[in-house]
Amino acid sequence: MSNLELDWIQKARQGDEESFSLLVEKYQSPVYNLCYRMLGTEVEAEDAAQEAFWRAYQNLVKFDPQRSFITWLLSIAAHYCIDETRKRRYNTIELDMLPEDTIPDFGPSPESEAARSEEQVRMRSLLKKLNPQDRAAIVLRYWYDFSEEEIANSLSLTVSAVKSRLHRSRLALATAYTELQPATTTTKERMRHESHAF
Amino acid sequence: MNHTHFEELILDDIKLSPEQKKTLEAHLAECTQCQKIQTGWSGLRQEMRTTPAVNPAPGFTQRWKANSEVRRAQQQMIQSRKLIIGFSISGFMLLAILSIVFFTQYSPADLLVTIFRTITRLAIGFEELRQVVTIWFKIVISTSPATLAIFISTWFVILSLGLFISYTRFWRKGEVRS
Repeated sequence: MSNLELDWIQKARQGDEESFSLLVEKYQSPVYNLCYRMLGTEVEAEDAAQEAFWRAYQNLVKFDPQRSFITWLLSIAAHYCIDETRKRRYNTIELDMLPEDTIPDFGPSPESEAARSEEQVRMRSLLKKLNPQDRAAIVLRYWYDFSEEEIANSLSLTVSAVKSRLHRSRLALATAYTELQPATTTTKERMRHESHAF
Repeated sequence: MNHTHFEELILDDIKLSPEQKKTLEAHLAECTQCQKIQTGWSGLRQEMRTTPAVNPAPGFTQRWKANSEVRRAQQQMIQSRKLIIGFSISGFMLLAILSIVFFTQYSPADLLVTIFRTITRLAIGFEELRQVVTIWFKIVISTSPATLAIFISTWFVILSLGLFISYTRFWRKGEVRS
């Protein structure tokens, strides 16, 4: 963590919101990306990222400057997303079940275009197969290069629990990915040779 | 055949020794199940590396600032509500305790008698005061009507003076003087 960041954190702790805004500006992408991987839609990711930053701001006094700020921030975001996913299970209608045009959008942007790309959709459907904590462990491991110890600290789990969760998730993902491949290939082939609709 | 060991070699982030690599390759050549896992996992890892990170829509920090203002206002409202509810509850509790203490020491009949006695005394007192004032005015008017006129005029002057001082000292305080 740079001295500049420490300075921002120190000022934000004393109630300087402008300094915290600089931290928001710097870390918006990793936090948003984690929320997107966890929740699967842009709208939910935006809300979750905003909430994660708010919670971080509210609990900044509890932050230990010896630790990495981004690790702490991602841990807050991951916990929030896990809770949200669990809550969502009890809802009768999920956002994913709604037609695309009923989901509010922030307007066309390169990011949203990318989010709709086939890889993103496939990745989303694969991650959806995992339970929230397993999903968080996988996202932190492979998108943020967290060590097993860091994941354990972030998700309040033991290292052995993280190891077994990661193993189980990898197996589930590899199997699902193999099952998904032929269907995707068929779609690609149709797109290339047959249908003019694509 | 024990696949668990090979699954660990394929899936867990372990750096394989040349011997482990050799054993795994030999196993994969004859086990389609583990082969599928290996293909799936390596394909997925490749896709994880190439899938771009998703960024928020532009203006995220501005939206955060706006949100935090709204949340802060909400927090203040909730806090003031809590304070009001807390005071109300403690007020009611105090009233309830006082009522219990009062009713255990005094009977309701005594209380009613005291209330009526107080009201009667107040009414008698008011009546006595009215009689005193009436008699006083009668005496003043009968002795000298001029005294009453002087008395009323003096009060009028004092009142006007008081109003004038209040106006100049307080009401015009904020005006810009040219």
